[in-house]
Amino acid sequence: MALFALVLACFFASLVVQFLVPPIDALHHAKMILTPVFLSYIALAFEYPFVLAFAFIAGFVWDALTVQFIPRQGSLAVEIWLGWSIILYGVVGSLMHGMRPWFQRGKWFVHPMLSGLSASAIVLVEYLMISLQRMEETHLFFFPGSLWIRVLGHGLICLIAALPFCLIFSLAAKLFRFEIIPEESRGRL
Amino acid sequence: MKRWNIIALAAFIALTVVVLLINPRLGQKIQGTFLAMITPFLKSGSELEKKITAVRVGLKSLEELEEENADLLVENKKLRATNQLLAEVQTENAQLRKSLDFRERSTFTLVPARVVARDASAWWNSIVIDRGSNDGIRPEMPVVTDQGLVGKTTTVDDNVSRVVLISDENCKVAVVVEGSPDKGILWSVTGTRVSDPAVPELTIRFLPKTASLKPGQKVYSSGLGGVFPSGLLVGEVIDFTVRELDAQAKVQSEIDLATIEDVFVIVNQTEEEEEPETERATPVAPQPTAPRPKPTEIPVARPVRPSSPN
Repeated sequence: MALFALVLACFFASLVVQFLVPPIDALHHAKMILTPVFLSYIALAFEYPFVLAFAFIAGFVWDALTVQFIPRQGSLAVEIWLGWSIILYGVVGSLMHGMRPWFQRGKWFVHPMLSGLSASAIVLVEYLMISLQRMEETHLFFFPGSLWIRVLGHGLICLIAALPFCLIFSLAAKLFRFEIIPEESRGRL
Repeated sequence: MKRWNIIALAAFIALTVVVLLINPRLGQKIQGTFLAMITPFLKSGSELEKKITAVRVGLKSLEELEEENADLLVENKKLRATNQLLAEVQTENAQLRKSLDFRERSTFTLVPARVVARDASAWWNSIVIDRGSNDGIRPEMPVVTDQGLVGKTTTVDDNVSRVVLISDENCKVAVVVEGSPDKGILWSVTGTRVSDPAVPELTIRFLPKTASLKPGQKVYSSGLGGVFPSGLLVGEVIDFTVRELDAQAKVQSEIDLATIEDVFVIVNQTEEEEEPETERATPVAPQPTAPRPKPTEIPVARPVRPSSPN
């Protein structure tokens, strides 16, 4: 429980960093999204209820900080509903948790790849949701090459952030017999 | 599946449904609360970032400093001359207004604010500023710099506000072009939706086909719509095209929205019946170490209405 609280504290610190780090121009202004990195660690090191708890907290906080509320004709409109990230992180977290045996078999790169893919998926789904909302006004649905660079750029940044993380745990398992996966769940994998 | 896992999944689904049912008003309050919670950390991080940049920028050679000093002296002289000219124009304007018995004159009260963070999301362009409702800021108030319009406030908490930038598709401004009677709506309908947020592709839409605009013409807010008062500089026309049903103009803002650090929020517009004082304060960027500056009142170029003959 204390470790989970520590991971949550690190996650909140990472949120501040994500707000301060500027976008990367070379990747069409892709930004740093670190939540999937934390999610992959939680999925490996904790039991399933903790994965869902983290997905809920992370998704809710992320949406609460980033969702845009647009005043329209005296009321407020939203393009992305508060809470949709919870669903996405819940699905990704469950997937990562279910793929723990891969990590135990030495395939340490699977979880970083999942982190990267989920970061790209989050950004792409956001784009589709926003575009659908704006269709009424613009009648446009753009899919230019720069869009894919930005979407994949988010994934690449997340993948790079997650790679050393999982590599260290994998090396620690080989060299020092340190196991990130909790002892009680190893037998079931 | 373990029993605890099933319970956790059920609780997760139930809580997610509850969150999804939160109405936008409450959602905005929650956003304000969360922004207020992380703002102290964002401020510290932002200050640290500025200090690091200042150290990097501060490492200049003596030659560079001399050159910069010479440039600043020239600019200072130029600004003094312009200021002198404007003072004369202001006096003349005051006399003419008095003789014509103009009734209204708009002034803006500006609240200086510092940008503490930029949007962390991928598709929205917004900034977080260190002023909120305690400073008189409310949602949907215009935000400007000395170079022109920046955007408008959306979520406002006690000491923090979120500002949606003009580079965001959700920020629309009713505009008028200098030297032209034609009015249109300006917003960042980019061709790709993934353009550089620092150099927004602003477009004036719904211009009449008969409009004839030239590159270099200044674009100002027209005051229609109620959020942005008239007379705020938005940018200048860089391209003009006549289409089948209407005409469009591309506009370039002079503000670098990616590096913007200090802004002013127009907290209210007052309609004065008396002539304004001869000397008025002009917006000055707040100093990093200075205490929080007080709101400043400035008059702006705004079409005035003569008083009723009755």
